[in-house]
Amino acid sequence: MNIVPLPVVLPLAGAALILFLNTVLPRRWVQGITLLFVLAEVALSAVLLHRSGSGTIVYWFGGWTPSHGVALGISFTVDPLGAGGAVLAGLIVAAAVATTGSTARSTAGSTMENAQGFVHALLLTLLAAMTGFCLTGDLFNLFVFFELMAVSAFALAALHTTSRAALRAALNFAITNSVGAFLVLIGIALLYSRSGALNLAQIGRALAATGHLDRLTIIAFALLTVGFLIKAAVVPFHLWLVDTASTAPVPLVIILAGVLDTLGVYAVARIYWTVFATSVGSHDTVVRTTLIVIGAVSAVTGATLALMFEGARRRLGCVMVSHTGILLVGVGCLSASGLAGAAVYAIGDGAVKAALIVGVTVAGAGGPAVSRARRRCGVGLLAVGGLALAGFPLFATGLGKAVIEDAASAAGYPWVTPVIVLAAVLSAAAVFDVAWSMARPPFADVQTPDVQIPGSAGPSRWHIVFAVGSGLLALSAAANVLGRWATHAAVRFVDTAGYQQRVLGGGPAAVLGKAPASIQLSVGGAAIDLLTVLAAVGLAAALNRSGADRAARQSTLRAVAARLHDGSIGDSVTWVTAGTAAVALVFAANLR
Amino acid sequence: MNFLPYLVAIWLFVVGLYGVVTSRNLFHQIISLSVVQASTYVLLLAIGYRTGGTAPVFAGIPVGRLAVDPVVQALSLTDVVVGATVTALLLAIAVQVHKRTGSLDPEDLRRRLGERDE
Repeated sequence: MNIVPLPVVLPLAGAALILFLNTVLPRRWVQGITLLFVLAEVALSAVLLHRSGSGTIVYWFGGWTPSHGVALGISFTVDPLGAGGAVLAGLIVAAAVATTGSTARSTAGSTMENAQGFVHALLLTLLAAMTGFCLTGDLFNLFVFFELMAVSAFALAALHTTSRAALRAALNFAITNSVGAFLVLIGIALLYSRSGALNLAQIGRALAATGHLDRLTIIAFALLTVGFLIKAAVVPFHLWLVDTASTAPVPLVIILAGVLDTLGVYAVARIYWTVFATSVGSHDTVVRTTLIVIGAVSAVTGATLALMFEGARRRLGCVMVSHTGILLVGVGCLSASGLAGAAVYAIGDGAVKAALIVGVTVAGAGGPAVSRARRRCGVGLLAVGGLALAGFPLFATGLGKAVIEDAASAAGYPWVTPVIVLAAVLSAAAVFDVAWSMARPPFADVQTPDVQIPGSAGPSRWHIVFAVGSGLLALSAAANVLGRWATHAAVRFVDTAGYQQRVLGGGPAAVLGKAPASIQLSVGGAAIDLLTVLAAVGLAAALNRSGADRAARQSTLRAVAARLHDGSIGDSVTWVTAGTAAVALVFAANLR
Repeated sequence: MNFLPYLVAIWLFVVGLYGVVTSRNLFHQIISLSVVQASTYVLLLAIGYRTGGTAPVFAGIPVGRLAVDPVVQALSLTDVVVGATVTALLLAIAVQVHKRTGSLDPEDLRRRLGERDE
């Protein structure tokens, strides 16, 4: 029996089962069964991860194997990085499921209680979609999982139907991301019209055969890139995330922070290396510069906004934007080492961001008053999370960030290092500021003024939520051992010819260069990391002492930023349109 | 094969997007989003069209008879399903918005955020 499709099939079947069980079993049992399904997904994905280490796994649904080098069916093509993404998605969803029990007894009575019945089913469909997204080798299949992911997330975001702010954010989330999905679909249609194929490897080979990129293909590339970057929520496509992070139920925000945004960047990397890398050829500088500039702008903008805004979860939403930007810089280096750094960073940083959301929940943002012990635990999570966010070398964020900086310098972008350091300092300082303001009275000022946040943990079960947060921080620390794995996974990921040969057979034999040195934390990188941490702590202390943070929140700049982020759907879609046009113009003018 | 279907697709995309950006009514905004999506149906079908081709039902027609591309039709069908799901979900949210605020104007919703949720 072949287990390749099971990590997707199992959660989907689980979702259907949960909908039935909801009617006959108590909530606590349903939560436990959901957790079992999630852990089964983690185990199966881990088996795939192990097996794919010795060679990329190709599974053809219904046994429709390629004939004469032409893909007839739909494949799952599992390489280590994809399987790693599936494992990460499972772990983060497990954390989210563990926090659901305590979100049930939330602010508003019966509506929320009824909606809770759907939470577990939706979390399982979301997990199935994310897993399929990571494992698939077919472009249209990628789109379908992309949409399934999106729809599950929209429904989760809108669960809290008594909150106007949550409804508004859910509308913005759904409409902006749907526009992104249409961009992806149009890109797929254009690629199909040119290559006659939907399998990633097959499209890549067909495009390479023409020897160059024509205008149509370039536009398709731009549309796919932008469409996936909307899910990644990098500037200027981030407006939906800032609102969703502050209003959506806690489990969804944990997943957004931990893995969902990351998958947008993953998809950009996947389509670049499987489809476009060969045809882009020597013009890759254009792609590299575009991605690195978008990433760098996001990193700094997000971190600055995090210092300016109010509301703990809203500020964490800005931190998410900032750090997805850093991740995009790593992928944007278009090198194996940059990608390896990004892989480690994705795991280390994703876990930390999820832990921060947990920390805010434990500390009781926006909810009723909580006990002193509970508040201390939450603030502790935030403080340690802030250290990790700045890249304290105990955590994998330090390793990933240092490797990304080195890779960017090696690719000819030495200015990236100070930019990333600045972003890390600002965003960590913002997190320290959040922790500080939650630690001292009056506690009212940390509440998002207009939002009753669903998901403040009930009095008896916050210990579990706190344990989940600590576990996430431990995961981030444990990811330090992944340097060697990430290097191998990245080398395999960027090997376009090897991927095509594995899927379709034939073609030039895979040329595996010498195995590169495993990424590790250099002395210089560690020094920069430590300086970043010190600067962040210093900045947070200085801001608090001088009251400059209050002043910054009343400045004109802040007023402009708040006006831009007032959650208008029209604004969000306008930015998407402008960003798409800009990327398409840059690609069309320079990629031939 | 001429360019007309492609022009229609581009027109639908642009005019739908304009509706999404400028709309002052949530239902209008959601329908505008469906118009944007309609452009993808037209584009897909136009890509698969073959002049003089028959429907891609391969029973009872001579081997080698030209047929339009069935793959894009399958894609459009999937796309329709996705579109129906998204539209239904968005309309459900819009109904909730109307229930809470008595209005469908997004600006109204923004202005009334300051009020306490019940």
